[in-house]
Order: sequence, then C-alpha cells, then structure tokens
Amino acid sequence: MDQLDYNNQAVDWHTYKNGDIISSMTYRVAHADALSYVTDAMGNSNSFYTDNSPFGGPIVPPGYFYGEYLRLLTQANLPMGALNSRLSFQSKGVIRHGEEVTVTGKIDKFYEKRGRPYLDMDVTVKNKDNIEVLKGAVTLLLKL
Amino acid sequence: MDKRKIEVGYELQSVVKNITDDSIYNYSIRYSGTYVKMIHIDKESAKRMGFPELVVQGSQTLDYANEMLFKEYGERAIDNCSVNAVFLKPVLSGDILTLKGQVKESTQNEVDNYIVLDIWAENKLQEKVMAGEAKINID
Repeated sequence: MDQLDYNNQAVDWHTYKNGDIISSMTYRVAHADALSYVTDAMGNSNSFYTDNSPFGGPIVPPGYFYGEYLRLLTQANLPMGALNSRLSFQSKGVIRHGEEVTVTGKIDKFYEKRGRPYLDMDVTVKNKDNIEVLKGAVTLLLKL
Repeated sequence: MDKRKIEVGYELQSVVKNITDDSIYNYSIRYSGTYVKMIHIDKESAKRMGFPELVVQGSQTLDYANEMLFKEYGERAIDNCSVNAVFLKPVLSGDILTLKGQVKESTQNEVDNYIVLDIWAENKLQEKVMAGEAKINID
C-alpha cells in the first residue's frame, strides 16, 4: 500500500492522549547498516563513521536516528502524516557500530494550527546502559 | 581549532548536495517497513500526495547540515551539541541543496563555552527550504 492508503487505514490518533508511549524498538546498529547510511544515503564517508574515531571505533552519525520516528509510528500503526515540519535533536553521547540502542517515541501533544492537525512527538535514543544519548522532538503535519 | 570559527559572524563553508532519486531512496528505504510505499521512495505515492517527484525527508536535510557542522567543528558537533530546524518548503528530486551556517553567538567564560549558529538550506532557486539553529559546546 502507499502512504495515503496507510494513513487512511491507520489507528485514529484520537485514541491516543498526550504523554502516551507510541512504541519502542531495541536493536543493534549493524556495522553494515551504519556504513550503508553514511555512504549510500548521505554521501559522507568521513573516517569517524567508517573506520575509527576519538570515541573508540567508528561511530553512528547522530542523524542516523533522526528519521526513526517514522518506524515508531508505523510499528504502532499510527498515521505517518503528510510532512515533517520541525525537527530538533540534542546529542549527549555517541553510539558505536554494533551497539544496542533503544529508541522510544512518546506523544507530547496533538493540536491544530491554522485548521490543520499536528502531532508533537518526543524521541529518545538510549544505549545499552540505559543512558540517554539522543533526545529529539518531531512535529508532524498529519494532513495536508 | 582556528579561533575565527567561534567568532560571531564566522560563515561556515557551505555543503552542496545534488538531490537525486537514489539519494532520497537510499536514505528513506530504511523507514518504509515492509509494505508502505512512501512519498520518499515511490513516485506514484508522491504524486497521489500532490508532489511531482520524490520528496526529501526533512531529517535528511537536517543531517546534511550536521555534515557541514562536523566539517567545521569535528567531534564537538557530535556528542555535545543540539540542532533544531523548521522545514519551510518541500525539497524534491532534481534539486540542489546548499547548506549554510553562521555563528551568531559565542560565549566563553569559566562556566560556559559554546557557540550558537544559524543554519539553513537553500534550494537551487536560492529559496530557504530549512532554517534553524545549532548549539555546539566548545569545551
């Protein structure tokens, strides 16, 4: 199905309330996935991300996690909306290739602006020691 | 680090990205799950949503800005920094993005040591498609 069909069949966002956890994912960022991201997706093959870094081994660029909110939404069968209108992330540490992370999405609030529905969503990335490495906020325009 | 890079008014070396179907697809295929054809990976889906070409994810544009920050400030732009941006216009396949930045605030004292930058992206028509800020701790 395509994005429009997906959004139409998705769970009604009105069934969620502010503060609800949308979903959570725990996985390892495989070396191959990190390499593919920096080379194929971003065209940025800096050695920090491919070979070695001052952090002990190659690291995953923080931006790797910026788009994870989409997977969090689809995992919960929530609408992925029409467009991302705002994004912010605070980086407090690093994730190395092969490390396990837990990515969690939480609803901050739903609201309307100029007659259009929006969702503010918080995203956190924690390492295997449950330390928050990245903290972000996403604003989605739910319908054009 | 060259001290000029933390002075107010310093303009970062811009980063230019040619936006192609491949670059958009390769970035976004990770997010499609197993069954959803998004506006970022499928042209027919994009057209149904009103876009003539594949659409770049805002997060991809923001990560291009990260690349610009990293080139200037190295690891300081990775583990102790923040970025935030609003996306002003959709960016479509075939466009050329230029990422730009300028230091607008610089604080160095016993307690704080950071810079704040305006960051933005322009399309090939030199229209702003993304605008925001970055804060980098310089310790």
